[in-house]
Amino acid sequence: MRVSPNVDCSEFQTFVFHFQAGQLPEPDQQRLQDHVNGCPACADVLEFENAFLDVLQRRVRPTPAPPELKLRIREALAERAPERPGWSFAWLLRPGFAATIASLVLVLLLVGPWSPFAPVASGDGRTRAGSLRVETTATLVDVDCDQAGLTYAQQQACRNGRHVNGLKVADNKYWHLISAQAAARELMLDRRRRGERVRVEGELFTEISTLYLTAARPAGRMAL
Amino acid sequence: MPGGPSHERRQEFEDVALPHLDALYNLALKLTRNPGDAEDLVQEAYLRAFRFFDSYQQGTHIKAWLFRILRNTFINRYRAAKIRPDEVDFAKVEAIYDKVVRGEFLAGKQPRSPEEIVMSGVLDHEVQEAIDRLPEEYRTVVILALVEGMSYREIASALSIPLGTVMSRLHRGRKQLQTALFEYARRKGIVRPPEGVET
Repeated sequence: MRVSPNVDCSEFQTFVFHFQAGQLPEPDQQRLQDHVNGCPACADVLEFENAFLDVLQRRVRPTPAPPELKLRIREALAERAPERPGWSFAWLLRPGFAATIASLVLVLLLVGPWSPFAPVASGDGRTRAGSLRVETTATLVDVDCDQAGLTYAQQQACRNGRHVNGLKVADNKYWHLISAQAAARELMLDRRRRGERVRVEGELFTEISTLYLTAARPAGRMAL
Repeated sequence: MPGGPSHERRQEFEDVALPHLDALYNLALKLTRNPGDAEDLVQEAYLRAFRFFDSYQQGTHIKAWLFRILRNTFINRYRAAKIRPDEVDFAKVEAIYDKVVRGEFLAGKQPRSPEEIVMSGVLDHEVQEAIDRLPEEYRTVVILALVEGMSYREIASALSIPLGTVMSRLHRGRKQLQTALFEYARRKGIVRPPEGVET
């Protein structure tokens, strides 16, 4: 949203809240200031909105946290051991990691070489019960870090060996990735690619939010 | 080699993160509208933040980061379980605000200023109710901007939304809030009912 070079009253009144906040780029702020300096009607609008804003900020008082909440949080932090890469094997028992391993085992039983089912070739359209063929565009992320609100740059810098790449298909909706193809495994492990938009194709096992990847490319051309 | 808890690390986290407890609690309360849920939400957000504190250290604006975790935690745990609020006809809100709320005052048709009206006749809990009735997306931005005094860029970072979206949500949120307060005042007879405009 940018202010046009020749501000009229309608535009000033559209931007008045942001003008009050002083959050616009300096040239835009100045254009609006120049307009209100020469327009009595908009000066009245600004005065009205200043009065209303002043009242809101005085009446909308924050509610302080209950005193015992800080103590409760401190106790919870003391009980929680921070995750650290190292030689401890306690991480094997973490619910999220155990669930991921269980998902991989389940999918491998369905599609691995020992599976009673024939592997589904790309494009032949066959799927198993509980799965469907999908082709979509999504963002490659470190699922744990993304759920924690870390930026893509921070996710690329995350060297936690237990974090693998997944797909972010929507706000707080993720798919785990598996594949038998070496190129796809590289996609799943390369942390430098976190934040990249990719076009993927595969078989989605909806119950476990896991995509068996058969093809992937940067959004733009096919790579696998 | 043990990977046990680090007292110093925890203390460092508490020193930088706990000062924002009141701000986080205030937003959590506005999101959940329930003190018990707000406390649980804040505690879970702090535990998540501590878990990723090592990764965070490279950045700044810890307050924006904590707000982002809080909001993501809210979306994961609470938003799916809430009944979806009524959709707002914002075009109607904007028409009422421009013609009635602002228009009546600027035309001198109301006897008192907004300050006199809202300070004298509208109660604190009614102001809070007006905020609570905002759609969640507008409510969050209004709280972060007006109460927490965060810049638009900090809000955009905290909510992982574009700057333009922050601006439009704040614009709509304020108009809807101010319209609601005007309506409270009208029902109490503090302002005259508008002529010929359906509210």
